[in-house]
Amino acid sequence: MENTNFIMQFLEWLMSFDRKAVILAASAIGAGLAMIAGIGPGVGQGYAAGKGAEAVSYNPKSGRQATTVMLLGAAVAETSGILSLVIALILLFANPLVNLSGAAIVVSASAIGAGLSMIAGIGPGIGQGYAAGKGTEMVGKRPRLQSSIIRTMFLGQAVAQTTGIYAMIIALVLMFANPLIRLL
Amino acid sequence: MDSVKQTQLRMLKSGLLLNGFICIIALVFLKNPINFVVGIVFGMAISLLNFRLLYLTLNRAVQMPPPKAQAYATSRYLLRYVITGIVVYVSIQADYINVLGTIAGLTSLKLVILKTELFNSKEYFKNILKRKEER
Repeated sequence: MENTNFIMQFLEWLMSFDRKAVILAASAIGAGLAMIAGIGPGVGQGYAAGKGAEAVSYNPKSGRQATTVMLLGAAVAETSGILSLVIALILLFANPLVNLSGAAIVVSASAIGAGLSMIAGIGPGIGQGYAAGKGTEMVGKRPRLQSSIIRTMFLGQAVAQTTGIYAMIIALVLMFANPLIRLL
Repeated sequence: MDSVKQTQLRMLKSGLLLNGFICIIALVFLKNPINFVVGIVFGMAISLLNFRLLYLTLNRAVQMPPPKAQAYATSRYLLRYVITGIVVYVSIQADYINVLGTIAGLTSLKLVILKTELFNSKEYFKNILKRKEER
């Protein structure tokens, strides 16, 4: 009787390919997934710029200060996008998984997992952009409190960045020091 | 508080200082430091140019209506993202550039911003857990 378990059929079909081809295909998916994190800083910086425009239109006198806060906040919000880009490009052009020994399915899944973990970069990107936007808005309203606002904003942004860094650590561990291979 | 231009100059100086320090450490401890230093210089140069591009974008965005400013800033972000991608790609492909140095150069400006703006007041951190009446 023919096997009707489609997952098993799919896995058997997958294993019919060359080992290297499966890992490279998984790396391509992983690189694509990692790039999803690029959405975060885009949304965040857009929000910050929108709030900056609002702040300047409410109080044109504080425009210069609002732009300074927005510039610094938006520059920090970009970080998780750069980290995801680095992981995607390593998967594409300096892939350490291709020469790794061990079951092809585990190595392939690690490549996809490395990309998936970088999606976490959306959170810090949007969050830091949101903080930059609110900081800009408040500096526009109360320019005298700029130094306190800017410090609080960066404190929040530094904390928000941690999850993005955790995600990158997991992606790097999966790629360069994969513990799953040793468990086989 | 500094003007925008002064802030940019301050970031430039601090960035150069930090990267100079990293370069000295690399020269002392790494076996092949030249590639790493080239990577740092490459990454830092692009990071500073991106920072300048960000300033020009935001300077223009604040003069726009908010929805238009959002779309404009996001589209410009994608442009900078592509530039960063090309830089990392080139440093992966070129043998004479260490990619870790490039990544360090690209992210060092963010560290400089956090360091200079976050830790510039001891009083803030001393009083952070105190009630308003105790200060």
